[in-house]
Amino acid sequence: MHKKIALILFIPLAYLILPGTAFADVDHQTSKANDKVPVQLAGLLDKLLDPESKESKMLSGAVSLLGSASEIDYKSERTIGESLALEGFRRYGLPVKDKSLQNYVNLVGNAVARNSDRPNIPYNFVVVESPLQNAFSCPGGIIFISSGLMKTIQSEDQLAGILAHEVAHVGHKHALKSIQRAQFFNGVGKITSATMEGKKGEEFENMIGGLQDTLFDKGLDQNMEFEADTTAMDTAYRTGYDPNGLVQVLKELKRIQSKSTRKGSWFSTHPPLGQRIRNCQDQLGHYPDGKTLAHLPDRFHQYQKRVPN
Amino acid sequence: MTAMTAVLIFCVIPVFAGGAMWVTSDKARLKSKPKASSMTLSTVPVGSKVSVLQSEKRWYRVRISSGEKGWMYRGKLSDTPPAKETEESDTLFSSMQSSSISADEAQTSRSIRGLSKETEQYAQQRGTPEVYKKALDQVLAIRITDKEVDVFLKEGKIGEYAP
Repeated sequence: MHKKIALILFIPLAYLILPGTAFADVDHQTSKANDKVPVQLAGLLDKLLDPESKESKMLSGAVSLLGSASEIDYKSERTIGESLALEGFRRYGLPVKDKSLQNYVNLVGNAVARNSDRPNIPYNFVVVESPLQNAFSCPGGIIFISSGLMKTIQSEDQLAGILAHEVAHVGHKHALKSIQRAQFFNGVGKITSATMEGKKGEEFENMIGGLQDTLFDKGLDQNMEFEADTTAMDTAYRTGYDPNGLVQVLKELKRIQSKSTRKGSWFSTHPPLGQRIRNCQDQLGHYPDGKTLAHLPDRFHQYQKRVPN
Repeated sequence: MTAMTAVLIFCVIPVFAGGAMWVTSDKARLKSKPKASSMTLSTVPVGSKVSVLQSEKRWYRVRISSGEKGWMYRGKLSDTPPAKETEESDTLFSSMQSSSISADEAQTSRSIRGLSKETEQYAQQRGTPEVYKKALDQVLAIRITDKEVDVFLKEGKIGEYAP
């Protein structure tokens, strides 16, 4: 671990020490580079002592980033997720008042979560009343799916595919990675009662605001979405659902895209559906017996009837 | 992306007898026969290494570290170890991939229910309406046991319960 930190620290420092000098130059022009270093090092130290200098800010950023990446614990992750979930209800609507439906979605979700990349944390799933086609996951394992998307889905393997996609985001900590550079993490590696007060408290609110902006409007990095798709198909397959279920939902979403609301939905927060479908279809070749696995449209429709219009 | 694809390909390629695999799913059971209804010999934790002796349909006959032999459903195994067991991050971001909770903490975490004190503070500062806090409390109150998941999978004839 110490070696890792030392290496990570060394790289940005090395770049700072040798501004404008590529590493290749060091290899091929050793004597020249050696002549330059002392002068540049002296200049660098001057700059690092100036808190307003670009170099000083870069180093400070690198150090705080290290703390946030390596030290965040599950409880802190969960607090971020719970805070985001509160905003999720505000933005998308309250849970559908039907215990049987909520229980069913939690069963499908927990079934896939057991076979996910991160099976050892608690997962909670909730269907919220919203006409938008949407599903998203909060850090720590709270996962939302809209009643609109529940109406679009047509079988249990399709639901499993969507929930597995969201579980994959939690497993890969995609949302957390998107807030690595948040000011809140500057000097903070763990969320406590004290870090929720005063200036830090404000920074926490700003961070949750940024997270909402990413998850509810702009969307995560496209590669994170593609990674969640492939992981989801694998998770669904390992559980015993046809991994093609996810592809079927994506195809249906593509079909209804032109007549659906875009803002705040999967259409605005996820990569173009055509590209996702092609990627997933390429992946299907890895599951030769996928079609013989569970689909369960009837069981799904029993519960879908309970979703309000 | 390429690495992920490679992992997925390996996951579904039949493993030759004698090969090593790892338990990657929670609640993986070693069964006396390649049937979910057969006797459970033991429950094997995530990250355990097993030796594959033979395969039959969607089941592998394996030997676990104690020397005990039995059958495991293929979905519980992978020929690559789970990430947190082998994570040797070489980049800043990949260090987040490894789970930062120990097995003991994980068990505790599984039982976390209700809003955390810190989330309550956030809600108070934001003036979050009570109705949203209550909604989240209700969501967190839903408890799904492993037994309920098993019954659900069995009723749907899913995975190891498929005929």
